[in-house]
Amino acid sequence: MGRGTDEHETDPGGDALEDRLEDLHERSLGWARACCRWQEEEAEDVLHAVYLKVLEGRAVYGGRSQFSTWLFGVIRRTAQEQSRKRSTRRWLLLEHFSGASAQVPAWEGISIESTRLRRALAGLPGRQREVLHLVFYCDLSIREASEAMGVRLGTARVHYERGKKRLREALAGETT
Amino acid sequence: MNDETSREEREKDATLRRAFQGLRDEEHRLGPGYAALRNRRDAPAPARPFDAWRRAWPAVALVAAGVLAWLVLAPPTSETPEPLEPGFQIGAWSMPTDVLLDLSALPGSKVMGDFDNGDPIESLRRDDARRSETQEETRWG
Repeated sequence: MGRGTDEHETDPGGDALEDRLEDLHERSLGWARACCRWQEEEAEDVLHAVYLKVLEGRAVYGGRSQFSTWLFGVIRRTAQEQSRKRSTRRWLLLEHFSGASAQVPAWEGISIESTRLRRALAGLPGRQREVLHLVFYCDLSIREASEAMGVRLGTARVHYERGKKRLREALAGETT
Repeated sequence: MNDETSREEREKDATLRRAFQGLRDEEHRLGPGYAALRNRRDAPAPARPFDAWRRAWPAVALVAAGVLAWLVLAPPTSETPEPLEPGFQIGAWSMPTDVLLDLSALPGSKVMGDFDNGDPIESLRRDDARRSETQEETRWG
């Protein structure tokens, strides 16, 4: 699942960089989806922009953390930037008249269990949702998740524990 | 006890992990691959400026009608100040007696009633003279 490519290494160039991105692609796309609240088009736009940033050298890996941690941090920041731009554009162009919804979209081909999980996750506070997604979906440790989120380890732990509790309750509520 | 708690916790975590794993498998099956996304050339189409304003035409029309109605129906306002009364000079009043003089000239003025002999000017002059005498006495006495 690509965890073997996570050794600390500064500036993997050219093909090596492409290989790493490809190796992490599935987890990156999942993370981009979570950052964009499962708006598929937005998530793909974000990840496309991140790949261009990395490959064109606008985002440079400094080797201070694992490559995957750094990449997930870049995805998170890019999603936030694009979300801000999109909000401004929506406001300026009155896009709310088009009836666009901010809810988690239903997606064909996704099982009921997964839809429930996505809905329950979307109902969690942002930090709790992020840390759970990074740990359970992207296979990061809590420490790595805290680095990707840009928060202290202790803060990430608190969000992790509270998030798990709330997620279990939400899933139990969804089932009944 | 601690072992049991941590085992329970691990089991609960395993349930969550399996749920996330299921979601991940399904999402991976449906999403675009690395090469498809990396080589995508279609950047998100920029929204045409003011495109959405067309959808908001009822609100725009309502505001425009309101502005038009206000322009047409509002009463005209005069920009020229009313002329001053003849003989009035701004800044001409420099003494309190002048003010009293003018106020006393007004019909129904009660200023007259405040003085003992009915002549305000004479009364003020007497007051002034009395005050001067008192000051003189204070100074020399």
